[in-house]
Amino acid sequence: MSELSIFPAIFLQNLQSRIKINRKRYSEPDPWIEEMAGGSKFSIQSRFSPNLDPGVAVSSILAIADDAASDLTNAIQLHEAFSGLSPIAARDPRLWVSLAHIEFWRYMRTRWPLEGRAIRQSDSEKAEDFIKERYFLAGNDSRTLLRHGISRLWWIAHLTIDGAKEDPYYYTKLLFSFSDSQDILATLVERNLGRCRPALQAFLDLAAEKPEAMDRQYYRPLIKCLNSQGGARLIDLLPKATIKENLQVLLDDACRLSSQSTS
Amino acid sequence: MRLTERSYPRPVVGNRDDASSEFAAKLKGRVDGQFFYLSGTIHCSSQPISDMVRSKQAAYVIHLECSATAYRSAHQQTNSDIRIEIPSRHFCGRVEVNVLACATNPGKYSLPEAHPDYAGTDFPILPGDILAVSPGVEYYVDLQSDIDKIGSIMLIRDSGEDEVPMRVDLGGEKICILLSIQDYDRYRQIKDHPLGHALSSSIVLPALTYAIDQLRSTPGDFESQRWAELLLRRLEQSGMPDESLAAAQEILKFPISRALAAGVSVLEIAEE
Repeated sequence: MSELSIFPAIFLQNLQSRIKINRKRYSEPDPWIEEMAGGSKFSIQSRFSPNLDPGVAVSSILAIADDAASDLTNAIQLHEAFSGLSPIAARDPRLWVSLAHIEFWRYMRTRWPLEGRAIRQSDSEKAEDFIKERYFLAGNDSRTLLRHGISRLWWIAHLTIDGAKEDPYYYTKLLFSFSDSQDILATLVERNLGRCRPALQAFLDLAAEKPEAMDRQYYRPLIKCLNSQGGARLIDLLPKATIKENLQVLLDDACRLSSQSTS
Repeated sequence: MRLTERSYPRPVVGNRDDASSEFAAKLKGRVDGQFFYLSGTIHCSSQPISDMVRSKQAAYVIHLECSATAYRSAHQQTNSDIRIEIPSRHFCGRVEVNVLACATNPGKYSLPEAHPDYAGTDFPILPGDILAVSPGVEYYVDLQSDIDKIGSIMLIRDSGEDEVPMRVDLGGEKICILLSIQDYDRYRQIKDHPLGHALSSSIVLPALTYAIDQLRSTPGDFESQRWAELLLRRLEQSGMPDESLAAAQEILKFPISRALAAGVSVLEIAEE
């Protein structure tokens, strides 16, 4: 596989400054960057080659679907194909913004359409905010990486992969088995606590054993409790099993209180 | 993660006026293309905490976070010298470092030097409980994304002209420094000498400063130049100083300091 092409920084800067002007283009079915560039340079060769068989196009990595059901498969496929990326390269906006606008345009248009989600064409500010969030990386925090339509897939896999497991994507699969995986991402993975691998894995281990932990009415207060414990205790030092035990106690208390209030 | 100026459920040395003893870490961080190096020493004047660390009831912990790459790690140790190396590819931009002392076993904890409000009280502690904190420190890891094709953005060439001043050509893929025939010959003779790298920097620094000046004042003129793409990215993403000379020195990792240090080193060897 030859090296991937990415946007030059200057082109990216210009494209981002033209979101308002280009807003209607984000509803077009086909990629438009080349036409918009009008002969000026819109790509440079990177040093990164995706891990793909010869003849396989980058665009074929992602299954095109309009809902979260395909996110797990796509996250794993993208992470495997881009397994050679370092974290510093994987937070490079040129990479993900160019992939979202070119190779994965059709995926983006299906999975993250500008239409729908209560964004009407006439809500121009909302539409522009949506484009900035899903098509560009606005900001330096890792949260933006988990919001961008393409980078989120790689980063979710990166933050949950565990090479010590027989299936390294075991935790990735667990995360996506939550019925509201988008909410668990926002509540846990996007937060500071989500960067603490023992805490993230302990929580997911508990959820694997106790399906009630996957219910929003329980997992949100659990995560809140874990977060507040982290205020006076460095959770990073605790073995995963200890964190899980602590969460188990909190979950049992929460379930008992809930059943008492309904009886 | 800010760990000082908090209300903990026990006296924590280094936090507000919880205790009269001190806990501080003197740190030094540097980065090269391979690693981020953190070194330093921990000073703890609290006898109970020092005793707990010595008896392995507690440990010093060096906690690092980089929000840009979602990196987070905690390094536990019982000696007060800090020597940590982490592959620099994990970092981009701001790296927060906190040094703490934390319990490693359950037990009880009391501090004779604690604020009178805590006088005479023993506090139960569990593994991970924070016992001492020093003010957090931030480092800025300025590294080019390794997705870019590696290669210098500058090259030094023979202009083919006699006894002319150095010129800089910004029209190609790289910033081209053109030396006179005589200067280029001298450059070739010294470039592999111990002082040669330092002296070469004195050629590169003014050229890079000039390039940054031009790039900032008329970026549109260099849209198709590879050197401009790489340089602009470094300037924009790394919070470089506005002043071109300062920015060039940061990019070249302070060549004047290195040149002077190399000069002193050569003098010392000569005196021996």
